Amino acid sequence: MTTSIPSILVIGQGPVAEAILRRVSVEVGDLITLAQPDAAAITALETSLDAAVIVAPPAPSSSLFLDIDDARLDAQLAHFTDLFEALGVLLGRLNPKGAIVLVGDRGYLGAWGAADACAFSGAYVALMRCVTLEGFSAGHRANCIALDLAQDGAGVDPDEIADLAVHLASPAGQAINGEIILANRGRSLRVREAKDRRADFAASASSKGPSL
Amino acid sequence: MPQLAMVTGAAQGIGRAIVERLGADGFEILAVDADETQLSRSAADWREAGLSVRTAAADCRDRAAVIKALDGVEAVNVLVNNAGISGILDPIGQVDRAGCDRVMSVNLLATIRVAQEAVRRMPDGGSVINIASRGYLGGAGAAHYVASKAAVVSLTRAMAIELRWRGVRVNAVAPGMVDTRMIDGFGDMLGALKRMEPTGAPANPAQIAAIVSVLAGPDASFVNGQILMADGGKSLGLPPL
Repeated sequence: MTTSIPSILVIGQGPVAEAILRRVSVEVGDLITLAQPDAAAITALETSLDAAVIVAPPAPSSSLFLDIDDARLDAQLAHFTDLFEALGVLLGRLNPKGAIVLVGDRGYLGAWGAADACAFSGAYVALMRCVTLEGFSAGHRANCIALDLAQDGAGVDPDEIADLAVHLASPAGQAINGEIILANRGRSLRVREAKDRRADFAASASSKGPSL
Repeated sequence: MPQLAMVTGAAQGIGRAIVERLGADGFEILAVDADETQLSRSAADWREAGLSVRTAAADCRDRAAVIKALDGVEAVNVLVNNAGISGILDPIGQVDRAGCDRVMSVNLLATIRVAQEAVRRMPDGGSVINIASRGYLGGAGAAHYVASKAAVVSLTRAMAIELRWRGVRVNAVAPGMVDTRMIDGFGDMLGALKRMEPTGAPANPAQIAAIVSVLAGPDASFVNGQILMADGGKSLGLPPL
């Protein structure tokens, strides 16, 4: 099934972005894709937009807090500022009642072995809250979808995420604004770190903490 | 032998109040600030007050400077990650890349770097307190600042999950409006913003320092991974019109 949105920009790469593209049909206007947030490319667009779906880059692989190095931090900051800058331009391109959807992850809630990724996840979520607040007067909407982190194990089917993203981007989702929707089949109800990692810790005789 | 508390952004405002409170609590203080002049002025006052404070001028964005500040320190028992800036407060489209980068670097990346270097020297029973902001909940016209403080909140949770196995607690304080130089950035809006405070006025830095004092000490030994809102109840919302 596809959903019609007059003009939509899809930013990102990977299975979720590809699934979103399969679900959007553009009857009038444009379907524009960008591999990553790019303020200059958005500035150069010759059309205004009814929606934008941004798939955030995947969080880096697990790393213990004390092992996180500066290069890894700087790379994540560069991704964030790319998105920040692109959003600034994008908001000026968005039609009244236009919608932005960010597909991020649940790291903002905290997780084992990914403190830096969690921090940036929190930054992305908060940034979208600000977009919501700043967009009220123009009738814009902004929402987040929070997927599991890679180290959480099995993910959700990209097609299911795409359904949700397109719903939020389309007029059908107009009642939903400023929300973070966890899309992980209820896995966040498990106290993963407390239960799973305790056994891991007990088995780890050589380390001060559990292994990853 | 007194325990050591490291405080960043220590020269003025909330940081200075934290130095004075933890000093009065009996901690030896390592006071770190990028503003060497202001740090020297405050240090003179601290010495006169009889506090045990050593100082280090350092921009905490620079890991080498943080390591140098910790030179000769064997154990950091308490870390208060307080250094922060608001940056220019404007809507998203009016804040340039450099402005966003600077706020995120000071408020988040420096917090991570300082925490890493301090935790390496932190024994069992250590406590990390990150100073966030109630602004992390969201706000128009300050997206980069809001994002940086929300990042500190999420970082706090993740650090607490991981570092509890080292016997280190990690919590955050999220102040609302506090009477420091940072609120000068609100300009003409300051009067209206003060009237929106539930108490009709911003907090005094000493009120925030008092919360830090509790989180730093043994009375809070069962408190971990928490974000303590210190905003007079503003985060509960405004009363009906």
